[in-house]
Amino acid sequence: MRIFSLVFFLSLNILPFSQFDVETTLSQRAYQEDQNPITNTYNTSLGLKLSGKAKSEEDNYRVKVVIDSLYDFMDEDRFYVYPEEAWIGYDDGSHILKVGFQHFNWSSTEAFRPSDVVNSRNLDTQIKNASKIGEPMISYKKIIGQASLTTFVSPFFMKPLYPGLKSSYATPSLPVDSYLIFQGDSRTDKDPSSFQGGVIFNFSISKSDIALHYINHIDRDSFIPLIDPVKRIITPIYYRKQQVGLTSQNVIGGMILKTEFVSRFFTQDVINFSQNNLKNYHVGTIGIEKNFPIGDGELIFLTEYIKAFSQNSFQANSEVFDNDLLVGFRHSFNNVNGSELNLSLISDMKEYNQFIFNFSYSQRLKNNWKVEFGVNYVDSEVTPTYTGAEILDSADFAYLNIKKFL
Amino acid sequence: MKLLILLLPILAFSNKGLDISRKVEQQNNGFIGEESTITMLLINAQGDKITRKLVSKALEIPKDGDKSLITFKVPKDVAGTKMLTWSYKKNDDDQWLFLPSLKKVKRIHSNNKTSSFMGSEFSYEDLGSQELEKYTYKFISEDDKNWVIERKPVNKSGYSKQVSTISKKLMTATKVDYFNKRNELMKRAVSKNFKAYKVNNKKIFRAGTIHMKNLLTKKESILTWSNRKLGVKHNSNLFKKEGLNENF
Repeated sequence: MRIFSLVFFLSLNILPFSQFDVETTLSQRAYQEDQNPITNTYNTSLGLKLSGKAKSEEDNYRVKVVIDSLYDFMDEDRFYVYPEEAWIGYDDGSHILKVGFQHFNWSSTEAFRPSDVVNSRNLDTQIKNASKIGEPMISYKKIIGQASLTTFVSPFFMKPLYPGLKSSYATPSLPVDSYLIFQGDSRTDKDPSSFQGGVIFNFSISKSDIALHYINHIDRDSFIPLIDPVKRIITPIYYRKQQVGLTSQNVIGGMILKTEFVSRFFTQDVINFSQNNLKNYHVGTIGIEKNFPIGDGELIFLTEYIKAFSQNSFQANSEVFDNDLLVGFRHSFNNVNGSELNLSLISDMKEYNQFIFNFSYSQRLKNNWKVEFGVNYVDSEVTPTYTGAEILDSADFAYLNIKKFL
Repeated sequence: MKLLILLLPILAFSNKGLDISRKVEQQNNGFIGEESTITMLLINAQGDKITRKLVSKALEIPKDGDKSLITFKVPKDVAGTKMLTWSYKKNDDDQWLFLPSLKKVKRIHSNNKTSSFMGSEFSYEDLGSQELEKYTYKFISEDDKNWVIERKPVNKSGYSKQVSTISKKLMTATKVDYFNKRNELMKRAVSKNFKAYKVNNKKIFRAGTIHMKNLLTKKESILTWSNRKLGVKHNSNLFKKEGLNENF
């Protein structure tokens, strides 16, 4: 790791075209009072994102580093520093090779993204599409005509960042402690060395962009919980999953149709270990985006629906989003301040009464200052699997972020 | 027959407008590839000023619309965002947006032509590829130095018509008046500081600044080009959506 850091430092200084940016965020969150003496009702945090990038004169050799960090003045457990990206690469326009911490996103939909499973996430950020943590990888992309083939391998497992005990945004009802990985033959351990990899083939036909993918990885989006009733902690047991899928974005008439469909497969070992709770299954999302010009700006209407298809109803219900419908609006004012208003509602179409409402507004105050504020509100009945919106039922909050860019 | 004789001068004038526009297009063809840094100064009705900066690259596609790549540099909250446009002579453009914070390439619909570009007085339509086939033309007048041509959009547009003053020497527009749907003079763009670029023994003129004034709101925007190069042989993969999330 020290050698890696030294190479980055030297590269950023040696390569001629370099750029450094700093983003600081002062954030205030106010939660609904949850009658829990342990959790904080208010959070005040300072976030710092440092990024540096450099490239050679011929534009072939590149290095990029983005480090995200946060310190909460009211919750000492809410402190993190991690790389979003930290890689060295070679790019001749047709062949692109990168080594280092990277993250991938080839999803087509906005809210429900079953294809988007690579990389661990910082679950302190938001319930849908939480920020990604860079993972050590070697990736290679070959651009072939109007298509590209990307392969990546990752030798290590990285666990997600869970909110701490004092956080009202805590995901499970009990604190999460460390992790275990199912290694086969009923064996679990903490050894993070674990081969993960995938192949993504992107291509375009007429007004459609399509991506096919295959991934073999230790899934971070779901786990088998090991509950210690004495210590009252949960240890997540992560397991291997394979995924094949298709994503597409298609311009049809005046709108964009977005679809994602994935099939997920488990080894027999994993199925046995889960006591037959896990079966191979499929998840599909379909969405429509339509924009309407309004004055100088535009109003974007978005709707998406997600459905899990499984023989095992417990498993389908275990998906955070299943049989859910999103309806949203985004108004980009296209004014000098870059003002933007977002409204979205996710509603469960099953028998349970669950919905998640989001409102946010952002605008620049000056060229290098930006203000964001919003409200997240969750109302949910408790389901038998306790994996849906009820996780956040007591985590309604309003927030105010002030950002300064240097 | 009498009707045809009466119509002939009108038809002749209509063709003259198209002919001049075709000559202008031909004179401006052959740039191969272009790159520049663009500074955009936004001035509100009270005179307050804000600056935007972007890097623009374009690839000429013979016999079809050009491909362009715009990378936003300032303001910093959108720095690194890229917009790739493939324009076509007749069909709707293809457009993609790269969002660096999500590392996501998103297809966007090109029907937002009338929207303001980054809060300026320029719309996406003003800055997009000006393909000849997307308008009908009418010759208005001429003097020793200039032609005046009116053009009307064939497809959906934020304007009812545009009236361009075209320099005979520079073979490019020096002034464009934009009329809104109510046929009111809405905006005026004046181009200055022309510079000649030599590409394969052909002289192509490009404006160094375009000053757009909204005559209804009194707001103004000034585009200034720097580090401009023509005849650049770009790697065509730069203008593919597959490469959008790789370059910086």
